[in-house]
Amino acid sequence: MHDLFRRGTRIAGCALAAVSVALVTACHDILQVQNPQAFTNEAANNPNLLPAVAAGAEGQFQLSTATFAIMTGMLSDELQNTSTWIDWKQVSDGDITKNWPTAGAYSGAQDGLLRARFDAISAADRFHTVMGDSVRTSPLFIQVEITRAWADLMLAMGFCETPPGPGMPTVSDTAMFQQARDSLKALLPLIQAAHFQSAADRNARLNFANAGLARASLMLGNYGDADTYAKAVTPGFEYDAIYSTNSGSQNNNMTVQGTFTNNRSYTIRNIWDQYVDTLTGFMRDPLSGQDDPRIPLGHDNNNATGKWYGADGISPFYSMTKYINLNSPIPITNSAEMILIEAEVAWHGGDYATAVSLMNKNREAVGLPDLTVPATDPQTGVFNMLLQERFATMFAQGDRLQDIYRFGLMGTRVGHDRPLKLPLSYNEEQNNRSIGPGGGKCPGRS
Amino acid sequence: MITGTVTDRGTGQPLQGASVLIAGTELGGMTDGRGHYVIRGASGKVTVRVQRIGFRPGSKVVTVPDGDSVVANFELAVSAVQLNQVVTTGTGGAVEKREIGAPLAIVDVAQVQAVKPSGDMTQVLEGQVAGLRSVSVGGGVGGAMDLRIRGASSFTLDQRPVVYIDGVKVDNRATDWTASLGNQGCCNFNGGVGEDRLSDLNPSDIDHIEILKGAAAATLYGSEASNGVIQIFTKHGQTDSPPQWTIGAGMGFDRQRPNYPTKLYPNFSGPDGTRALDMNKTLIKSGPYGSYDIEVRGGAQKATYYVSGAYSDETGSIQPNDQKRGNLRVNVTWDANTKWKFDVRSAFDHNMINSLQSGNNWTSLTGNASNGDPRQASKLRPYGEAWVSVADIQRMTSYNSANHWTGGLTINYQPFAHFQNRLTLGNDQVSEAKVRFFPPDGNYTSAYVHNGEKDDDYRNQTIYTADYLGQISFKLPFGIGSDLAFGGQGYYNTEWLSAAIGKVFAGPGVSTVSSASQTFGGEIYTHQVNMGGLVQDRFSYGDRLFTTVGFRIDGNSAFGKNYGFQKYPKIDVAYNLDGYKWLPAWINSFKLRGAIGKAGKAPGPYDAFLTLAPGAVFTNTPALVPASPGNLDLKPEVTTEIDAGFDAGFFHDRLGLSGSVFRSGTNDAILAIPLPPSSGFSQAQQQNVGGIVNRGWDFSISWVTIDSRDLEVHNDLKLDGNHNKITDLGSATPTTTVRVGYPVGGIWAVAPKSYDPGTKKWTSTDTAVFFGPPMPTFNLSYSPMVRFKQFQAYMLLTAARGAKFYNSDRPYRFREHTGDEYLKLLGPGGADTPAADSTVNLWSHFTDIESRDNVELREISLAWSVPRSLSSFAKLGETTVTFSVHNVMWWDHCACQDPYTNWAGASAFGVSSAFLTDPSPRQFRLTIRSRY
Repeated sequence: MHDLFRRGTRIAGCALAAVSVALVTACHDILQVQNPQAFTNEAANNPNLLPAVAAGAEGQFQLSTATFAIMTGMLSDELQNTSTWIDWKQVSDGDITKNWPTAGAYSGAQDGLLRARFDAISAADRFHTVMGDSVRTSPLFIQVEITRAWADLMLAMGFCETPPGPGMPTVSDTAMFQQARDSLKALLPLIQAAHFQSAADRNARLNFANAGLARASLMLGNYGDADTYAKAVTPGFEYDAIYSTNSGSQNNNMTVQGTFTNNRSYTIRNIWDQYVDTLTGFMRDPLSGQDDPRIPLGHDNNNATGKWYGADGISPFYSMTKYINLNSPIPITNSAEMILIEAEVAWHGGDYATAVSLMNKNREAVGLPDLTVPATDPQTGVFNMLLQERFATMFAQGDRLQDIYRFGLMGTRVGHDRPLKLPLSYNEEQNNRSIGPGGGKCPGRS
Repeated sequence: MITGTVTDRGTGQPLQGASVLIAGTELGGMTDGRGHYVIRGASGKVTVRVQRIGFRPGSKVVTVPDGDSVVANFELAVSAVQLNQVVTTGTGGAVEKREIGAPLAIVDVAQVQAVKPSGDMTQVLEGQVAGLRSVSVGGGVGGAMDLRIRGASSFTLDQRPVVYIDGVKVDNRATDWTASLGNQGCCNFNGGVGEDRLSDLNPSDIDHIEILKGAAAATLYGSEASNGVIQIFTKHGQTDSPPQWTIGAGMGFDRQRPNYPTKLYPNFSGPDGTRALDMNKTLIKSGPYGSYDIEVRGGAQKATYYVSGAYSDETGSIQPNDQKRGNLRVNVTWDANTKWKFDVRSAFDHNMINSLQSGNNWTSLTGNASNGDPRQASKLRPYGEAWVSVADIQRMTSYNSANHWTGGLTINYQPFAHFQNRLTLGNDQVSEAKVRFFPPDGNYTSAYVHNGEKDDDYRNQTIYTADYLGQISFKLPFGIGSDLAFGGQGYYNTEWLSAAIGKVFAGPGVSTVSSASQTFGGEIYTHQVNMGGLVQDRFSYGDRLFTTVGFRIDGNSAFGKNYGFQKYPKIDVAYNLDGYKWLPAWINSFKLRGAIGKAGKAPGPYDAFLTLAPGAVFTNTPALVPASPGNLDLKPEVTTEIDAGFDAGFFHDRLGLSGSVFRSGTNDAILAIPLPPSSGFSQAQQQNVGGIVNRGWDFSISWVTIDSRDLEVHNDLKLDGNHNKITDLGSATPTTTVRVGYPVGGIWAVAPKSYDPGTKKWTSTDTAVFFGPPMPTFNLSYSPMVRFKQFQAYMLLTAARGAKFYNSDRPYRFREHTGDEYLKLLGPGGADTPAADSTVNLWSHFTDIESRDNVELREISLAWSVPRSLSSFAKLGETTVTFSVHNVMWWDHCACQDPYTNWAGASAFGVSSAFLTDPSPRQFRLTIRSRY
């Protein structure tokens, strides 16, 4: 009996072995397949692909701007939810509970910037691998390093806390401003030494770095540096987030979500409704009563109120026509912002005349009448002008929340018991082992 | 030569498809439509055995004089037990079910079709097998059905069983595939509901279906079988049989149940005085249905043929929505000699579905009509449509057109009496187009389509199957029999998706992608290879005790580079008590069985690869960004199932009981573990970290209550229960919805706690709370059949309980200030009331979780076997006329149209949300079938 079982086992074993050997020998190559949709990590270490790697990092940074601007805008007094999504409503209502089974819309804004920053870090590592020592004079290296620093700067603008590097514990927004400032400072000599193809290319990067330094310094309260770096930016400079109609993922999400011909998911916050000129389609400048071309708003000529309704079918809606096309660029920074930084520095120094004069430069450029220094309480008067000018100049660009936050205006302008900034991304909190579920520490509330 | 006729003892009707064999030989044949059979080559004293699904086997000893013939007729009694049926799927060769210890089921499709005419294969399976779920989840006519066996065994991979037709693996996709190509315009093509490639098949071509319920039974199918295996056997001709023609025709209509929450709409008018419409009265129509099919089969001495053609045209109740299907099949067999046999099959299906705009979709037809505000009704938008007018949606074109070919060749070679070889080579090809057109003069702004859009998406799927099985039978001492099986099986699967998109047309009159002012494209290609070897031995002792030991080894292109081959062992035992003297006489068959086995599920084709995804930024500048972190150690999910049960027949097999308890544990379940966004990769890493357990049972009773010539009563009851639980997450961080101790895809949400009238706000629980599992924990189906003389009545009643779902429609309507439930709360003249405000506030902050518990009358039918005197008068053959209604009525607790609906159709368990989804319509059918 024992022999018989052994014989059976042997037969079975031999049969399986024969089949297996035949399969393994004949089919080893068959089991190897390639993915024609993507590059492997090794394949990407190709010098010809490095420009695409650099563009990937900077492009992801730019693409993340729209969602960032919507979410920060909705938490501030700038924008308001008109969508059917509860998580958008929570941001707009200042009632972010973070107890949803899913990430919540606010997370996407930080996720995009964090991923863009990683793309930049990963790209820089790849450049080191492929280019060796020559990396430090490579414009591609400058491109990804400046992207990394600006991603840090934006993270500081919108979020109360952020991991300063991949998988790290969070630090405060102040620490992120410092990290951005330090990185940009370190980049200035590298930009000067890099082998750009033209002076214009070098100047573009210098302007972008200086603009970042001016903003970071302003937010850190280092007004002298802010003024110096702002003045170093060439007049007429602008750095935009560029979008495309090539595919849905490259569309300007502000257009997708905020225009009447698209999703109608957010609009300007209703505290501004009193200023909307429904005949011309602009918001009136509260300082002069004239239409402000910096804030165009689409409206319904056939409706007595001039308003359409949002996607929820009930919220009054003005179309956000600043970004009318799916490929409309979003300014991330420009010389108009630099002028306002200079003006703010002057205001901080008590030089109200200079502050107003600088603001008038921007107003004249768009055809608005000059402002004058108020005779009574010029400090408050000029501050209000400054706040309004920053609102109008950088409308729907993602800057308003930081202004409301740093000047302590959340309670008075939007409402009490609201988060002062956007909280740490749910995805980062859940999956970053240095933080863990429930590990987010902020924001405070108004 | 032996000839004869096999008939149903109860009705006296001939039995087609009965297997007639000479015991101890390979000689045999099948009965034709007249119940007639012919067996050549037998001589001397032989035993003739007959068996057919649903009947007790019969045998007779006859003596065949040399060169002469004898007649052996059989009358078979209806049986509630299937133990003597021969099965071949996952068993390593043909074997009677009584010799198998693993859980498997057989569905006699011809018999099911006789009482419950069904339009497609998944509908045939409704309520037929305990533990198998086949239900419609919405999407109108042509929408995919949810098909799964014994719960969820994966976090991320497809839940459908793998499907073979006559040994050839076929495309079983039922989910939408256009989203991965990046649609330019609105949403998913038709809201997320995919077309079901199994609905391409002509159910009239199916003879029977074998179902392997889980890993213990499906081990020999290796790395694709942890969800179970369904093998479809198509019809064949019979040797020595003249052509037998069967023609069928059906007519009827579909009509939706009018239970949309818009009945109060006509009480309201819009600003221009237009009175709002109730879609229950205006959009629900009777959609006509027609079907025609013809088949002929027969055979000569050594060859048989089966040829069939069918055409059906079904129009949905909510229109536009229809499905037109044409089928052609040719099956030919040739017994070249006693050693070589060939079986060639070819089937071509054309399936054209004009899809219903439904689901998660701005252009959902009923979604717009039932989410609109009746107080905003206007001449152009008489339902106060929320986003896109019903008129413009009805002008859209959205269809899926599929050509599906399945071909196979099976060669049987038997060089010696106890050595058999079977080689099956097959190919399954699907070429389908999904086309959608928004006319340029329509207003689709809410769907962000301006001046029209055309989407042409294509999918080509090819599966090559090669399967070799060798069998050696020999006797061991002490009466031990041994059937050794060995072989190899492989498949090569490619899928190519492409899209061409045109946007913004100059105006009406053109409709091609190229005629648009903006054009886009997309393309995705995947391929996957699996190679496996198997060996198995079935030992028998005394025709009573059977044990099978098997082993399969697999390599798969989707396994990580560092991972080698996966091994799957199995063992099962069947012990038959019948024949023991101590067994009471009224127990005429009793099989105890037990099985343990492993089966797997391979990862997605490229999940193991670390990749950088190319794209474009800054307008047409190439870009590369980290996409998938990959996993070089990725391996298949492995499910180990332990199953124990019994199959028993009582009172001459008039009462059949069958039951199983099982524990199905999945190790190395693949979990998509997101990396923190600060670490880059946009895609989650697939890791084998999870553990999932399904503990369940299934039980069926089949009772031939009365079986006389004039009156026949059958009662079938099927019950099953299943509790699914996550047992391990390894190093993965639990998320709100994926936690150890709770089911896969569990329903979690923040729950309301209390309402503060002062602040007019609801407070909520601090964290999401668990509401329940996404799948029922208990299912029941009861199907009585009564035949009185020529009349036969049938009913299928089902019930399910335990499952919860996100009823997204309900809060959505409140947030939109619409729907009957909201409108009822308004005061005179439509004025707001505190109750309305409070409810709007509630549903502005919370998700509505509801129960899927329900009782459903799925089918009633009445069939009439036309007397020959009448049918011959009309120059018809043996004729049956059947009237049936499908989806008759359902009762539930939810504020929804149908407790089964899911916006993403037959998607995996992960999406358990009803949203703008339309239930399947009631189907009224009158079918006539005549056989010549």
